[in-house]
Amino acid sequence: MTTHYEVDRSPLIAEHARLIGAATATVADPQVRHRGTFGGALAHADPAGDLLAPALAVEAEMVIAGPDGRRTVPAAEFFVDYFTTALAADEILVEIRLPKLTGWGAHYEKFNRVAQAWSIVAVGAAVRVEGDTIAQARVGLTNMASTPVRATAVENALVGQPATVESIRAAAEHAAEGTSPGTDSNADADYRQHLARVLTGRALVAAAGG
Amino acid sequence: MDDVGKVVNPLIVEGQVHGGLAQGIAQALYEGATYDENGTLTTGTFADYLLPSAADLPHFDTDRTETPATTNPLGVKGVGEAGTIASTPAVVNSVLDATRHLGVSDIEMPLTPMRVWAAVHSGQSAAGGGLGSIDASGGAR
Repeated sequence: MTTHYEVDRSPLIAEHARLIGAATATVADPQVRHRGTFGGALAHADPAGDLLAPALAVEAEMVIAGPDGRRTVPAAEFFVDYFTTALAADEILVEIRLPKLTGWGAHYEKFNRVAQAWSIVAVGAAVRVEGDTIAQARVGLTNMASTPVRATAVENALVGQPATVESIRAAAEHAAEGTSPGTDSNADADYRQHLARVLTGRALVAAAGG
Repeated sequence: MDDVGKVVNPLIVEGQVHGGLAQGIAQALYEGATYDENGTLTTGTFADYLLPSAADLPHFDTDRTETPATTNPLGVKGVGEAGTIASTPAVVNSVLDATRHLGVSDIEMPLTPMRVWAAVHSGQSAAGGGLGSIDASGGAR
């Protein structure tokens, strides 16, 4: 089992899966990152957890083992509902496969009220810039529904656009489309949708800049 | 800035002031007990009832004058919660001052991000200017 600490310190993650590394570095505190695991966090499927949306955005694949052998499930089908995954009662998650996004910029922008708290909303963004143009973009939203959400409208609005703050901000206006965030003591649904737009802009600007 | 009379143990006095400042700032920004319609406490854990840690608080520069009390032989006064009293209104009034030009006159404590956002937006519709003007001009008017 791979701890968050191991993910955070992995040279392979730093080179090929920077968004996963960036999100992992924000999980809880160092003590938790030494005990908690990447696979455990995904299998737990708390929509406020920080690794689900990045895993969805980078199109991770989950290898699941059970009595009938192994099967592979894409992240888009793995997260089913609150704390609910495609794992059956007699199955376990044994492997997470991350596509290489080598050379992509990435950033995880997290909003919470106090250090080490769960994300009220967070956004993971990975961007591949060619020259001055955004060639590819991936955006995942944390805590904007009962499962992580891929902001496909933002991604589609970005591709082919100049890598400027203006075009990124315009694309980020689509961030709340298709989301169904909950309301709790920290934030109403409206406020979460506002945060999604603002944080998506920040995450993308940071990702495109580096 | 406090005056706790004759200081017997400076480290304890400093600790009391730091703790008091943290408590006062927390009342302004974080701490709030809420109940649902059945009277059940909905902030029963520290995930819901927020307390700031050192990571959430600024650096404190404290100072004091030392005027011995005349009512006891040691010249001491109380220091418990001395930092608390002024820090709550200082934080709340600074937020209100910063948002006054947007039409905001009051925000209920604790001043959560959502409450400040909502106040700014309701002030925006009332004042007809607000956030849009900030974005357009690149700075507050």
